[in-house]
Amino acid sequence: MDAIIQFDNVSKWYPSYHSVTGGIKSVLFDFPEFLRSLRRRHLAIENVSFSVGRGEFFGVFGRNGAGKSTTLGLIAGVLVPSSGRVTVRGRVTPLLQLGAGFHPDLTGRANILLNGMLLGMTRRQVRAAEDEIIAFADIAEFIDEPIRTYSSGMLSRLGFAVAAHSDPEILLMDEILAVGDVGFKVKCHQRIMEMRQNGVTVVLVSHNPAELVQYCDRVILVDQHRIARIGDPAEVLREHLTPKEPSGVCAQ
Amino acid sequence: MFARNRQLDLIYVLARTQLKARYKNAALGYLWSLAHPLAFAAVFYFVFQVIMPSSRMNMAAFLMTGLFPWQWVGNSVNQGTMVFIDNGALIRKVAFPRYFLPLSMVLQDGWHFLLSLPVLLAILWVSGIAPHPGLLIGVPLLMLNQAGILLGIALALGSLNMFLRDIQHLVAIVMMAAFYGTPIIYEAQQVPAAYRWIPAVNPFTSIIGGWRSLLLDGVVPWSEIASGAGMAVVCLAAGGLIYHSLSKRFAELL
Repeated sequence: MDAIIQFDNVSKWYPSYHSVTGGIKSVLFDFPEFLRSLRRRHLAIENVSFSVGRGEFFGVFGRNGAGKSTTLGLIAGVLVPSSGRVTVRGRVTPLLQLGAGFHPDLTGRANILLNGMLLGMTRRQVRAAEDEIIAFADIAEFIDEPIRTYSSGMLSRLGFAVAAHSDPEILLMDEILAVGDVGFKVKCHQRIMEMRQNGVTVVLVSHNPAELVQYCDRVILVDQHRIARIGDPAEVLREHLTPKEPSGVCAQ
Repeated sequence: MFARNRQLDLIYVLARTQLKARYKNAALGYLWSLAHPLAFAAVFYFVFQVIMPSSRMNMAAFLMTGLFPWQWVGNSVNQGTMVFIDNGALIRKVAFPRYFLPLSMVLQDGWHFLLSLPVLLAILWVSGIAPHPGLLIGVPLLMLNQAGILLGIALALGSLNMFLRDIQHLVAIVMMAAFYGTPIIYEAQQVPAAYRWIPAVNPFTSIIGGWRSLLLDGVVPWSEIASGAGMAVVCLAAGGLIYHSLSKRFAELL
């Protein structure tokens, strides 16, 4: 299998920035604590190795704080690993969350251009795909209005539409399937399946085991900053698919 | 990952986006970018010509030739300090070269300045200072120097502000001091000898002095252009170094 994303013994820890970004005050008034905090580190993921094949639909599952977003950030190239190596052989298109890469005072049309180019399209490509994007997002009558007047549903439709038409090689999705009305979800689903058939690699981070089982070829379960399990979604997520007693979860 | 022309395209689109967004909700749009330095000039004119009259000829022209370029300086330094923080959502998600943000911002402010120049030149002409061919060479060179200096400063301050948010408050104070520490509402020769070092170390002195020679005295200020270019190289090198060593961590800080 031709690996498009590869993690070799990747660890990522963050220095404790809190005291630094807390400002000069915390540096001056509690200098010993400041020094101590410089040595303190938060572990996000530790010795993680996996690879994603070209055209694969790959899921990442884990609790809050398990290291899912760090994994996604490392794939997107916005984070640098503390040790180990991340290799990505293709253009990464992150599906932007509400507001990211959009300017509220600009029209939908101007935002399509801005967002599309940030996702790696040329101006000509954006222009060529513009009508399709507008039609897909179903916002034709508002397209020349500033997007601060848009509803959150319209914004997420626009965001997905731009990413879906940006000819992605690797699409990163962070819980994005959770937004939008039923009609749009169906359209998203169709579009994702279409992209998949065209050989697009998709990495989906989700809290929702059922969604991962529905879409993914393989899933990693991230627990305690490490990969607890990797493989067939139904198998990896077996115990997460049957709802547990809430008290049982809390008792852990 | 990014082809060269796509990079240039993105810088252009980012700059145009900021330009469009800047006055999107203001009915008078671009006129506000003229109103600001003109209003400042009017206030200082009142102070220096009416309240405490100076012997200077053509005080209004003198003030405007300093205040118009300073408008660009003030905007770029203040916004440059915030440029990475304000685009945090983007930085956390998309791996594009982060310096595109300050670069497009400085270019956008420079474009504004360029658009205000014809108005300034017209006002100068009315007050008896005719445009001269030296402008054709002086304007681009001084703008290039100024853009370089401001980009260097924006890279440095924007990066440092990610780690230490106090920078933004400090910048507001320092820029206020820098306004009076730069020969804008006075001339460099008026500074007492003991304090000459202030305009000497100030990166904006050669810029404002250069504009003044070009616009007011009608000469191409080669010595200021040379010292401004040197200052631009220093600022870009320092800013680039700070940016280079910090930018990898930007996404962790937001």
